[in-house]
Amino acid sequence: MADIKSTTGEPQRLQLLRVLGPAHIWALGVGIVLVGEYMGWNFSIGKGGMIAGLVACWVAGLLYTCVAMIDSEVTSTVAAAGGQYAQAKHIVGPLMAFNVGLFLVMAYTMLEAGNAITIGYLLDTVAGLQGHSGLNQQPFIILAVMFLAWLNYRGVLATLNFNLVITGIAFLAIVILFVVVQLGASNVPLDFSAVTTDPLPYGWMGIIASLHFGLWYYLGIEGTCQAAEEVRSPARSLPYGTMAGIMTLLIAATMTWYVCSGLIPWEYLGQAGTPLFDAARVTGSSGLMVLLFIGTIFSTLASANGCINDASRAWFSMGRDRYLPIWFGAVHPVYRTPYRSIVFLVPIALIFALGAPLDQVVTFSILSGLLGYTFMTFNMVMFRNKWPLGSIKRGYVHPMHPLPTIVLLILCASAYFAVFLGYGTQLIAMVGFYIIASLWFHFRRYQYVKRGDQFTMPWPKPQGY
Amino acid sequence: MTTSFALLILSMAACAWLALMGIREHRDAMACRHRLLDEAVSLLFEAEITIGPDQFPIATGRIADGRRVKIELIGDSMITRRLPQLWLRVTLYDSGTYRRPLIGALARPTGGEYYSLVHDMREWMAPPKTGTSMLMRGDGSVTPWQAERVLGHFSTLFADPQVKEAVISPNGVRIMRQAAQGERAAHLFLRQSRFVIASVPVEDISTAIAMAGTLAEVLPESELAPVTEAA
Repeated sequence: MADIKSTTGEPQRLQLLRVLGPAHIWALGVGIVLVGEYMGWNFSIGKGGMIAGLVACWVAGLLYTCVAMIDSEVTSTVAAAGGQYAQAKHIVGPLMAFNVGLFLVMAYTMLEAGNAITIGYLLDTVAGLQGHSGLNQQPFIILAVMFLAWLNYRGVLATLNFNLVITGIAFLAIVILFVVVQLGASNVPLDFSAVTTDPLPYGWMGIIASLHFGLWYYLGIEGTCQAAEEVRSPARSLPYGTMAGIMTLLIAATMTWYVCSGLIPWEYLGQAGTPLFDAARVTGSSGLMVLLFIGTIFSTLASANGCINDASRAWFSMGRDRYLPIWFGAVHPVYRTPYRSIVFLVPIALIFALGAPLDQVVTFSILSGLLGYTFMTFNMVMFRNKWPLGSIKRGYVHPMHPLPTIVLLILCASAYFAVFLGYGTQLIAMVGFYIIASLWFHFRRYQYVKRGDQFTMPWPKPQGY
Repeated sequence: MTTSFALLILSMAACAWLALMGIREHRDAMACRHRLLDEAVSLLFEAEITIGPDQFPIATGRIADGRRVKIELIGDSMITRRLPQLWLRVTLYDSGTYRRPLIGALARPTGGEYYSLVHDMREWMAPPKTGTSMLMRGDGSVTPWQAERVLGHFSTLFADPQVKEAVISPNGVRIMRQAAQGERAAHLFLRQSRFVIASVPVEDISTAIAMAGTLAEVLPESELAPVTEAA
């Protein structure tokens, strides 16, 4: 895989070994997003009913297809690591980069809080099943966040090799649940009568409202694009791998929807904390319950661990670039981790994990992600205008420009409207937060930014400059 | 009650087993880490290996002409959306302090290179054209003659995609090259930094030392008369 010996003599860029094929891209996309199947998506059913949840799942799939296509092109050109944050620095400017950095930190930190809530909720449920109902979830939430933050602080290396297969187990658990239920091993038969008796309880508006949580199925699939410079043939592998990933997730999401909607009444499913585990409970099979319990715990812990890592590094990068106080840019002398950023973000995650319901935390994460996708639309237009095709080498050129951009913008606008319908206060609060942060950056912080360091790509001067 | 008690015992035993496994694996990983620079010993006179606070080894000694050299390894997982990197840093010390300016270049800068000297230099300079993103800076005392000479050398040096940083200073020179890249699956799923090498190959270390030696010759003491020569 990433063997240094194989790089010797390679005329390609450092650390960007062109060894990946479409299958790797597929695995990367599916692996990252898996936690979305275990919690959060089901709130879309609460917003609009069973049919609306399914439509939201497919429409969100289209949105993410556009995101993947657009991100692939820009990432295959912006060699600098750092993802959208680096793109914003090069293509739009410091204020946008500051905001994109904040989007990343908030999206990851809220997802971490959501994972912690799910762990607490799941343990409460299991304790209830054991006859100890009324378990206080808060110590477990704090313990989960603190433990994972400690792991990140210490930069714990190479422990517990079996962890590597946890994503595989979590994915397999969904497939096993589906197969077992299909074979009729469930105590309760699949019941889709609500599709005909109560198809759209809140009308067509319910479908739009549910779009908001439909995003949760795929949040993070754009991570496939970070491999743009490591694939053997970006123009072939990226679209193949990403589209195959989207299709797999569409199938897995539909499968999850099918099993959960068939086993659990939609009114309950729409507010469940751990829908797949609840579906396993309904089957009455202890084996399935244990399997889905393990799957949920594994996927949420792995996701929260990754979130702490990524959020702290995004915060660290902003500190190093002087977008935030340089104090956050410190690295631990022994563990080589961004320890101040890790510690600083712990209480923020805990405040949301302990003080906000899961659906609101998920909403905050989705909103930050959504703002990032909206950035992609005008980032793409500016990119094509400033550096048209042929002016710089692109690893991948997405087809039908500007159609994917327009589709993405329309879907983002619909998703904002959907969020406004159910969580208008949160939407306004979040946008207000970003506006205040932007004003602080513009009038106060920008004077400290090292402007000369921002643009380092060997690109020609952009058109019009 | 009995079931709950059995479950509790089982959970505690499982946790204890996991903790033991974790401690054992961590200890093994640290032992492997300590041996990463063992092959450097064959290249140096008066070689000595010490262990740094981050548990990576540091090799010190002298090269054939008697100059002191320090070889270090730096684990870097600070950049989002990039696999962890293991950097090999070679510092070649001069026998005395020369009148050379402080000047350096960094390939593919992201701002997160906490180990870099280039970020702390105050004067921004036009980097060499290598086809990749570069940052080049100096201490403000670099003359046009020196800048031109260093630029020419950096263009050649950074054509090697494994070179990350090169610095010339009054006390010596420093080269940083890629030694290994983190294992992909371990990083993507668990954000771990695992480098699958038993030790840094001796060829890589000797290449880095040779690069540092060549870099030290770019602005030799005997030719530091920039005003007259530049004219």
